[in-house]
Amino acid sequence: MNVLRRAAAIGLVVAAVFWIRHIGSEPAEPPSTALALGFTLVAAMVTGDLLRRFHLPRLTGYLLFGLIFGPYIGNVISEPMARQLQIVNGLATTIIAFIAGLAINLERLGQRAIGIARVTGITLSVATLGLVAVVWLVWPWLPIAPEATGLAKLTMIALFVTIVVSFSPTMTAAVISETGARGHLSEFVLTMVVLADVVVLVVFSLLMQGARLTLATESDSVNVLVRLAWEIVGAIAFGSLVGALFALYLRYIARETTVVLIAVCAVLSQVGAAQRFEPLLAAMAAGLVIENMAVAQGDRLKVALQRGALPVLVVFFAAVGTSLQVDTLLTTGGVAAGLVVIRIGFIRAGLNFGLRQADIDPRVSMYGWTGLISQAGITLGLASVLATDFPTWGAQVQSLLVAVIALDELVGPTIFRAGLAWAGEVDASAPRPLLVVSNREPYLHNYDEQGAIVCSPATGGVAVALDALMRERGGVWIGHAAGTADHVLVDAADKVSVPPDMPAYQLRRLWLDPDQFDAYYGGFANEGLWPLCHQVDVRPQFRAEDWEAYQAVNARFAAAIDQELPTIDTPVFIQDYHLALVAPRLRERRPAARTALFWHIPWPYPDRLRICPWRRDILAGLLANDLLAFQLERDRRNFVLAVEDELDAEIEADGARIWFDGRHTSVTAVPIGVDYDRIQTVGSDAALSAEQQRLSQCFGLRASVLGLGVDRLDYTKGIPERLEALDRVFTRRPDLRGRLTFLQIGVPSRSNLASYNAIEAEIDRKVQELNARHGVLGLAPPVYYHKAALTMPSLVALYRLADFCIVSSLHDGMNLVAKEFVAAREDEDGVLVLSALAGAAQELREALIINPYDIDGFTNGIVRAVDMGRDERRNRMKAMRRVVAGRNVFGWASDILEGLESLWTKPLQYAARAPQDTPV
Amino acid sequence: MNRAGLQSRIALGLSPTPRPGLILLPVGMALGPAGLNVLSDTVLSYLDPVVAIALAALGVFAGLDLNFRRVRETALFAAATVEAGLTMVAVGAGLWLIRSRLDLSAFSLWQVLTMFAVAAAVSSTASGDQVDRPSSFAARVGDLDDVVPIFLSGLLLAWLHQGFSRDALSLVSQTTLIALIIAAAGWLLVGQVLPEGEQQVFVAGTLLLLGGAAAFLSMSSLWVGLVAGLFWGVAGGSARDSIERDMRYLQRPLIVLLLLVTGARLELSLPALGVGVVYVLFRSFGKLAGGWAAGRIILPELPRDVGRRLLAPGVLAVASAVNVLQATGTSNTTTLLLAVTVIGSLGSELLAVMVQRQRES
Repeated sequence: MNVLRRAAAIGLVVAAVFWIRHIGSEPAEPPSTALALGFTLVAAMVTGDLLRRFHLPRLTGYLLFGLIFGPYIGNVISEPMARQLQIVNGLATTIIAFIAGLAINLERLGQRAIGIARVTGITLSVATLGLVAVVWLVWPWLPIAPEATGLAKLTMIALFVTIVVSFSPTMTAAVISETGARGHLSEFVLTMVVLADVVVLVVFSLLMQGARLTLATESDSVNVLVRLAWEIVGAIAFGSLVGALFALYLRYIARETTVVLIAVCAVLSQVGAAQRFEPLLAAMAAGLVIENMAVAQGDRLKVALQRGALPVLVVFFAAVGTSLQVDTLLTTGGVAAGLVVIRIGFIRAGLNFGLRQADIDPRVSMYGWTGLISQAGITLGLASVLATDFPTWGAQVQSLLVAVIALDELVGPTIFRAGLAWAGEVDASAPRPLLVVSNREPYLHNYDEQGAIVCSPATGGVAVALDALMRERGGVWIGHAAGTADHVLVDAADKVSVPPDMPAYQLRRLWLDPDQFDAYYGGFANEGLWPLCHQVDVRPQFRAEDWEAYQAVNARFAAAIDQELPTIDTPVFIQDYHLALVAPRLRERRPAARTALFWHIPWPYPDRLRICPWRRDILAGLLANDLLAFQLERDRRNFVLAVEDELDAEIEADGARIWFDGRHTSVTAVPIGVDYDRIQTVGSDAALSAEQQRLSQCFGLRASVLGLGVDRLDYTKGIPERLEALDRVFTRRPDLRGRLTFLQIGVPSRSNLASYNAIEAEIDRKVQELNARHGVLGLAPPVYYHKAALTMPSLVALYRLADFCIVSSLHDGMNLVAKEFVAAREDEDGVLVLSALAGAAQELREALIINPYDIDGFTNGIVRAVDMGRDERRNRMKAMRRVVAGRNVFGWASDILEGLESLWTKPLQYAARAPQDTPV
Repeated sequence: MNRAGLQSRIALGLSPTPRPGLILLPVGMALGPAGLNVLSDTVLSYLDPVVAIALAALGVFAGLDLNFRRVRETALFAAATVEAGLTMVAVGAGLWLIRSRLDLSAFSLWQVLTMFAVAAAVSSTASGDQVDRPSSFAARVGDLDDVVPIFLSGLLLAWLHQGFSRDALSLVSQTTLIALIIAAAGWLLVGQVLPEGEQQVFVAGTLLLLGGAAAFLSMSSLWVGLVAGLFWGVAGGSARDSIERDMRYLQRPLIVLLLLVTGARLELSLPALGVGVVYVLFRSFGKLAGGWAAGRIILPELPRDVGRRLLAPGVLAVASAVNVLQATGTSNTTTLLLAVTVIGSLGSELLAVMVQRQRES
């Protein structure tokens, strides 16, 4: 249907243009420019798209459109109109060079670039020298300028060969993206074509300057070298200045980016040329500066490029098509085919020679050449510059190169796809291992009462999500061995395959000395960092011996990662505040490791952070990660403020990236979710009602109104405040005595710590007092307190039984109970009473938001929850369910991982694929 | 008019603001060949296609905005037509009084008077402040009073090229049909589910075709745009929404460039200043009288001060003059027309802001 619509549209447009030309006289040039541009833009886009449907490149479609509708065949675009289309040439070639500059991210290319640059240099040198020799020999038979001799001939050949060896980063990126290839070959080829095209652009610019002096009438100047230096250095300086200004604009203003981008390219093209600066070099320098100064604004620039560059490049390619003469093309076809074969041969030879000099994966040696065949916009752009500057022989070169590009475009992507397949990089089932590090292990092996070994999987949402990811991707999970029978099942390398029923990855168990573990986990992590990061009335305790243990254990984890890391590009996912110093210790062993850390708990405001004597070490340690993720924007902001206060770090304006100790760290907020689908499955299980009955009997739930609280017994959860509010509810509303029962599930936690012991005792006492005060003999108790963990099916059953659920944290990173309650309410009923101080309140705005410190307000909230009508309950719950369903725990985990992986792939892929459908 | 529509009208200079877009005209003058020469003649020739698109875009907006399915739209359109008609008559009469100061070497007196009158008839209103029904009616009259002048601009240009003849009518008809064909092609292309970037390219391409067709035929870009806008408005569907959305994205840079180019092309002179003063006076009189008559004859619900609310001309008056200049080429008359329209527009804009402040205080 779409094809028909497009064909009809093209028919109408062609008819309109014919009609216009029929009734109007061919006007002087400017008035018909808009018509030529409009027709070309619309019709070339459609032609490119139609060819795409036949698996042919769009660029071929644009060229074909120009050829067919141009003055030499269809003549819908007359000769004057075709001439007017050339006004975009300067702008288009500048955009192409600009995109090439944007592809160079110096930091990310980093150490890889040195090896690849060496290979690139050797490949280009071998290919260039070989082609120069061949072209020199066959020059008299080439349809370029057979009469040229001496220096003129050498200059022409050098320029011609420089263009011939160029590549297409966009086509390469497109094939990699389309096939979903991952691995050394795809990464190597993409980096190489980007680097190679930068080299080609620089060499071409230098040669053009030389050619203008050699071939034109300007060779009489005694200041040739001075002028050459002015033009080259001036171009780079001018481009860098324009790029820096644009980067600042993107960072601080960022409005009308597309228009400004086009204006920047126009300035580079026109003003630069007027000052005799080489526009291609200037544009490339500008792109390079922007990419390396304003990476955080990359996505915005990408959108601007898609909007602004696409139409200009479409018109440019079509305009090249209109300038082609069919007879010339026919005569150059055979020569072009020969040139394609010779080019591939020399590139392959050069690559093999280059790879022998570097330590590169053998698969790259075998199949690397397959990714170096495609040519597209850069080649065409350079040819166009040549044709503009040297209309006689340059135009001949352009015609020949168009035929070469057409052939390379047709065979290049197909051969590269095959190369990636041969190298095993397009196999969806190929392993992409992951390394997860957490204090707690995902599977514990314990002895039961009979002495048998029982495997218990971790039940928390995060553990389940990461376990699912590990099942899919494989790899190693490193965790502290806490099970009584853990040591029995591991192999000599302390590893065991898990899950036990269907092994998919390895669990590496780390044995820690109990005293050291107590100091690291109970001491520094839970008596120091935990109260430091939560705004509660518990004093953080920082002891030097705990800090030492924390450092030592983190170093142990880092050493284990070093042992288990299969390749340097395997992502390492570090879990939580127990492991803040793992990344710096790991980096001492593996400087290029790729790590992300998720900090699950809140991050304190700088004033509170100052309580910690080792805050700078922790901040610096966290900044050794490539990606650092927090639950909320508020936490991310606090972290950035702390870095600003405590460290001599450079922070980008939007705080998304921090430069410290010679490296960048991306800092982001990724709120965690629950395993929504699993909760739905449990909720729709037929066994749910039986479980509800069982729990009702077990807990004696006979009141008509049921409230629910599910918490770890932790002083941050606000359980005493909750009990105080309930006390006032029963005082204010005696009619609820016997009618309302509040079921509190309390999971004992860290009971060996004094602060946790104290809170458990306080809760016990308050529950007893409340029941004594408001209990009515023979009726349901006001509070039923169950002090043990429940399984997920039991929790879902309770969530569905409850009329309301209270989460009254005094400070909480997120609180997944709130989200679990909402996820379980498939019946769209139930009220969530939620503390404003829990991270979940930032997302679940339809909950009844209370402040646990304001007991009266809290009481009102509970009363309102009890009295709320069905319609309001449903509306609120529906809205909250949309939020919770939209962000599950798997999305959270993959967001962080993709965020980490994209730090390497994005700069190249984004820059190379900027105008996605326009091969450059 | 919805909020988005309102914003676009302000951005287009179709509604008065404390910082009217017309301020860009002096900036254009400073950058133009007579000033710093940043916008040199060569650069200006490159920007000609942009001017054609900008004019077509203004026409499209006017066409999209006309919707007879709205409540009271017919009566409002009639009121707007009466108001615009009386303004044209007033300006024509005023200039007739000083006809000796007009250059009539290239065109007849009636043609010249029509050029000025058409440019003077349009107005813009502060649509955002309308809280009551009469005020919203007044704003709508201001929105709709550009339709007839744009239509007349189509006829005027055919008349200038072909004289008062059947050929002129034939040219207008053919141009209209071509505009409809291009609009239909654009509607077919944009109506598909497309990536955002591709869709914007089609919208920009269609606008280029519309502006290019008018420029090629030396006809009114505003008229061609109006026809396309009306077509898309009637055809409706997702294509209409996409076109409106994408045009909103394109509009600001287009209008900025239109005003800068106009400023750069401007040649101010003392005679132009004199004619400009007469233009402002008679235009203001025409607006006041036209507003009063529209309220009396067509729509009694219009507020009594409707004329005062319609004093600001917005960008469209200048666009109307540029439209003539583009289609007929540079001559003493068109140079004067542009200068007078710019002076008149700036003067009227100033007057409108003063009146508005007085009303508010």
